Amino acid sequence: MAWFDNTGKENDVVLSSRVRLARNIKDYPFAPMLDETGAREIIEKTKHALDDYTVIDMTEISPIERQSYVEKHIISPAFAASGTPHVLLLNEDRTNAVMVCEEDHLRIQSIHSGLALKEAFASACEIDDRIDSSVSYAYSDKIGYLTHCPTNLGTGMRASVMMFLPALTQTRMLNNYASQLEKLGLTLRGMYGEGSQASAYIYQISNSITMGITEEETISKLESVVNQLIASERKTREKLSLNDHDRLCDKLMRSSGILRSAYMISSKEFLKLFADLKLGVHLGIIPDVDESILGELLVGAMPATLMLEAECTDIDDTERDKLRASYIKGKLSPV
Amino acid sequence: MLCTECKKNTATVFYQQNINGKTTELCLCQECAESHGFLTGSSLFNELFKMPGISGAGVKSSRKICSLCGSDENNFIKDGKVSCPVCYESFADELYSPIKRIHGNVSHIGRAPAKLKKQNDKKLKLDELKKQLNDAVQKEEYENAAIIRDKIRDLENNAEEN
Repeated sequence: MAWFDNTGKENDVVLSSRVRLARNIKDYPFAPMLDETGAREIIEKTKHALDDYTVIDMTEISPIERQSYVEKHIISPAFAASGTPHVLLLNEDRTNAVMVCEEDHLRIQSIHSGLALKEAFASACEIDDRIDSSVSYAYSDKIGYLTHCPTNLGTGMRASVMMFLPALTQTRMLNNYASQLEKLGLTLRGMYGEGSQASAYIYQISNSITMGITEEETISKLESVVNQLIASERKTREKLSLNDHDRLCDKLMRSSGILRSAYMISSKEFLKLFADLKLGVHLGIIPDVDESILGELLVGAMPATLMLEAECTDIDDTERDKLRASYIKGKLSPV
Repeated sequence: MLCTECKKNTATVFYQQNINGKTTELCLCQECAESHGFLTGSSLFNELFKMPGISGAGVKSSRKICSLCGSDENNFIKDGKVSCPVCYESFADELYSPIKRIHGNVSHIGRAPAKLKKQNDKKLKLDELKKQLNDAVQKEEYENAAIIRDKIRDLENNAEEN
């Protein structure tokens, strides 16, 4: 199942868990320095190793299709923008993906719904082992997997958890946590990872250190911090709800009302209202919305995915905002 | 210092290359450096290592060139990113401090490619057996030492076959 099916563990606070492994193949310069022949050879080697995966040639799909993969967190924004030969390999349920010729030759990724770091790590390792058995990785006993950016040396692993933290944000408690996270070798980023801003109170928490610590230790440390944040977020939500229940109900239900009846909604407004809707659903304030549709709604209302699904990619902003409002209305109306 | 080539004249040109971690140093006099094409800017040597001509005879110069991508000390890293995997060996000295600053250490633990992991496991086992053999010999436990010696031989023979 895709990560946004919203069926994973702790899904009131955790949207998804992702493990990414950066790998490079021996005897080739890193992807940005590769010539076309080198890039093609690496693509062929990876396709051969993962012959049951669907191959998507990124140079043959439209910018909107590429952007939709970014919105689904299947590829990075940099991969979508790359001009050199690069392909995406995807498994059937789209939980596992390999970006071939991103800044590293291979970015192996496994993304699962809810808190499932161990499962994501196991899936990423399985792909890693399959590729490892048919190519020689660039690796040093001393500094581990060799990567284009020295910040990924060592394990080459970035484990991250996408979290919905409205209560910790509003009470500014998250600021205190952010500085503590840094000391633990963890980083707090926006919804789309590096360089992105938090929208809809959605954040990514990931490890920043990849050397001198095993993958298992990294995951266990991250999981322990995430569990503390989950507990703190839930407790703070309860407090907020108890302190001024009526005002909170009014705010969340108004947002739900706008989402169900607006004629036009921009993606910025949607994200703001979505956060209220999600919080309302999980607090039981908005009982008539099934929580299983929330992840799908979040991804489906994003610009590229919205237009692609509706098969109308050539529309202006106004038409798109109308389309979004209509899509949301459809998702939230009782069946 | 005398020229390592003719061993007669004083060396004035110093050249260092690093290929797959193996460092070779040449200390040449002007005449020998010219005969290798180091001071002319166009030679087979330069082409081979994709190295720009070195001018300024008599000035001490030392260059490292990456054998895979041809980068030198001035361009192997751009915007904080390294050109190729071999640059990590070729410019290990230059990269040591930045890596330590980023990660707090320069010592990987964790997953490794399967082939290397097997080799490393075997090496660790051999080291351990050799240590046991030493201990057994020192304690004059010769029967035990013979058993350990056979184990070491078996392991080494396996490694050769592989």
